[in-house]
Amino acid sequence: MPILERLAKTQAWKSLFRHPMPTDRRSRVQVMLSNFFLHVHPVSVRKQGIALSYTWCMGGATFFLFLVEVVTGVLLMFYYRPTLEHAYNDVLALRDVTTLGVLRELHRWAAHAMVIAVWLHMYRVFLTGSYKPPREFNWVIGVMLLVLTLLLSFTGYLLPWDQLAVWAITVGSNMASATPGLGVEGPGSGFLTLNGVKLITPTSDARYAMLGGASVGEAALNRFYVLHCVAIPLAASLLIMVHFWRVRKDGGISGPL
Amino acid sequence: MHEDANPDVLAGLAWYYLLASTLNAAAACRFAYHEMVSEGASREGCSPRTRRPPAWLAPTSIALYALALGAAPLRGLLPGGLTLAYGLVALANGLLALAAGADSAHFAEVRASSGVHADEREGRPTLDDHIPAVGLGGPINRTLWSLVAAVIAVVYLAIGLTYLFNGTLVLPGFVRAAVDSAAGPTSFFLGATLLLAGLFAFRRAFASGLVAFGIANGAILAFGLSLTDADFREIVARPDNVPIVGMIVLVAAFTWLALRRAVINDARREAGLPVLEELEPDKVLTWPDLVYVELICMVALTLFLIAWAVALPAPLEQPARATEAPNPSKAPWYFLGLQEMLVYFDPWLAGVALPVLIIVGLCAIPYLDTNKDGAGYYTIASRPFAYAVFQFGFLVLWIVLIVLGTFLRGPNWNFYGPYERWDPHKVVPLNNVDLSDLVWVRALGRAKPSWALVRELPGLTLLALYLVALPTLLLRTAFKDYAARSGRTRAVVTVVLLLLMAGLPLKMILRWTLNLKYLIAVPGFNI
Ligand code: HEM
Repeated sequence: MPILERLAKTQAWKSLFRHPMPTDRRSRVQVMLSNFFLHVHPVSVRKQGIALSYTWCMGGATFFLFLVEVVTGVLLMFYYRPTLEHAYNDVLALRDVTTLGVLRELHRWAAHAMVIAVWLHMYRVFLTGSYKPPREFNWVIGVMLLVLTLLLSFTGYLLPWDQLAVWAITVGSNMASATPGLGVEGPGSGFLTLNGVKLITPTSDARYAMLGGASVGEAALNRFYVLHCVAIPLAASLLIMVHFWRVRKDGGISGPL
Repeated sequence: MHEDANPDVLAGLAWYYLLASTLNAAAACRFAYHEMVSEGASREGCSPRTRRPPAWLAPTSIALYALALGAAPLRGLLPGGLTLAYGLVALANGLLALAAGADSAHFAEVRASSGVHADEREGRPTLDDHIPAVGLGGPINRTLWSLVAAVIAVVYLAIGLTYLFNGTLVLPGFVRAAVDSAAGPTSFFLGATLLLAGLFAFRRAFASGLVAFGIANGAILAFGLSLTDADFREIVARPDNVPIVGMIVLVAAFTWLALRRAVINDARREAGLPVLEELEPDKVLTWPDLVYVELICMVALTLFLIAWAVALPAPLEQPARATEAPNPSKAPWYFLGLQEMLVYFDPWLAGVALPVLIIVGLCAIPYLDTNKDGAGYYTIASRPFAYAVFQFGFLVLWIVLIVLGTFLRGPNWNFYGPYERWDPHKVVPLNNVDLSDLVWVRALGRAKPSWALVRELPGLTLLALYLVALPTLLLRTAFKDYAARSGRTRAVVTVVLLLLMAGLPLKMILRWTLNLKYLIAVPGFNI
């Protein structure tokens, strides 16, 4: 590959990559140390730790699907307005009006796939006993990531604002009104009183806090939109960083010994 | 034409069986030509007697597949383009299957007539036999199995061609009626539980690749035949349900893979050999070994997602109307296991307490499981209890209930068999009674006491027994060693969490057997 080799000697290349072409042992080590994106990885790994039959590649698949969601999600935000007036029609227009109208498909199917992948990842981690010391806390971080993944998917489910979306979220958010003590229909909701006035009412209970209204309406759409596009992705990104950092600090991908 | 089989469906089924025959033709070739050395068996000392595929086979079949790939995009110009593509692939599959089967048979004959091979006299293994990993039974007969796979491939081809030429092969009505009448939440849940128990008990048998091969073919055929049913198809082919079908396949495949590796590892450990994960202790450089694999996975996943997105439009129903609830109203699919629990528990339990307990319980696992053994490799023997409990929780209480909620729960959350029409007027009698009714009215034959505390005494007693007396008992018996080893706090938390988890199936069983509605029924606080 003389062209590539010549390219690797140019000033532009050197300023960009800070290392020569990874062709021999030394430069392959250098690549891992000097590249920002690659330095999540160690320089060398145990062979069995990266065997597909061991890890099923599901943690990596989850992460990749998360990245797909970020990219397609940002593109979707260009077209979508979270208001009762526009939401449904904007989604409707995505297929017909947008060039290469599969953005929504990519986003939705990758979301389903991410939920499945994160479950399978947890399954693998359990079956290989990889949560055992010193990896206990990374498992806990993983559980938080699992919850965040489900919440991401749940908040996104509402945004198309069709019958499926609104009623699925209605079924889901009705559960909040059954929260013991804090939901109107939950046990003990009558206990919280102030001077004889009940504090927990349909317009002041846990579901109301979640939806910003007594039922799934414009306020809920806005809340779910912000949670879906900003708050939960940020939280998930942070936890993913910690998760990866802990994988390294806990001794790399698990193995016997 | 039969409503179960319109032209689109027939075409889809034809391709489905073509795919199935491709898989089996590949299996036939693998059995016939592949160097079979199983995990951990060293190749050293094995004389390579792997048969070579005939020189014409690979180029011919690759050329046929390539022609088919070329014909498909031309279907606009060429009227029969897709049929042509189909025929080419079918021809290639048939060639592969038949050649592999015939070669195996021929080789077996040659071998029989030439007497025993020198290696076998010396008792040395040869590459010609699938040398089983320790613990997985005797060597397989490659001739027999390549013939079996070849025959299955040809049968699938025949079925596929039948559909291609508009033959309407559908699942017989009496089979559908039988399955529908046998299906119910009870049989479904208990069946899944028994299946898991059987998998666990006979894991050595299930770990064999051939058993898995058989099960996979059975599943392919059952699913293909079910697809001829219009009602089954309508539910399974909903765009949002397609990923769940994929999930079932993935979960089954990974469950089997883990089981196989665990069985092999357990046998190896018993024989004093290192586990599979210890066989390659060397480190490799991340670049290229890991980075390239990641790159390939990313490209493959991207292609897969794009193909999926193009083939399957995302669903969009009518605009939301606040007054018109669809029937059934379902939560997003990943919460349908929880929604299923609403049949048995009030919302504050199924929708709030249970999810919190699941999250807390999952987080607690690493702190409760103090067994140091079995970290970093697949094993069952070193941690049978942990393995079984987690699989029951994940597979039965989570995945199976999601499948139930997605595919088998219809209008009014009634149960519908897989081939049953979702009729919103189906009436299912509900005659559930509270425990207080059972005790005071039925058993004692008197009116229920008016004072709630007395009325609910039976339920309260049972609950106290279950959550206080039973744990105390368990801590002195089954969990005694565990408590001594891991401390009392851990033991108490573990036992209580396990009992709460076991409470789900227990309440389900009480519902099925006694029609029990609530153990304790106080307004706003029903258990
Ligand atoms: C957004 C979600 C998640 C992402 C992106 C993610 C990503 C990863 C990746 C890339 C690895 C490296 C090994 C592998 O690929 O298997 C890993 C390891 C690990 N993950 Fe996750 N994970 C996620 C969720 C979870 C969950 C839900 C759990 C468990 C409840 C979990 C527990 C762990 C543990 C304990 C390890 C170390 C395993 C070992 O060393 O073998 N993670 N994760």
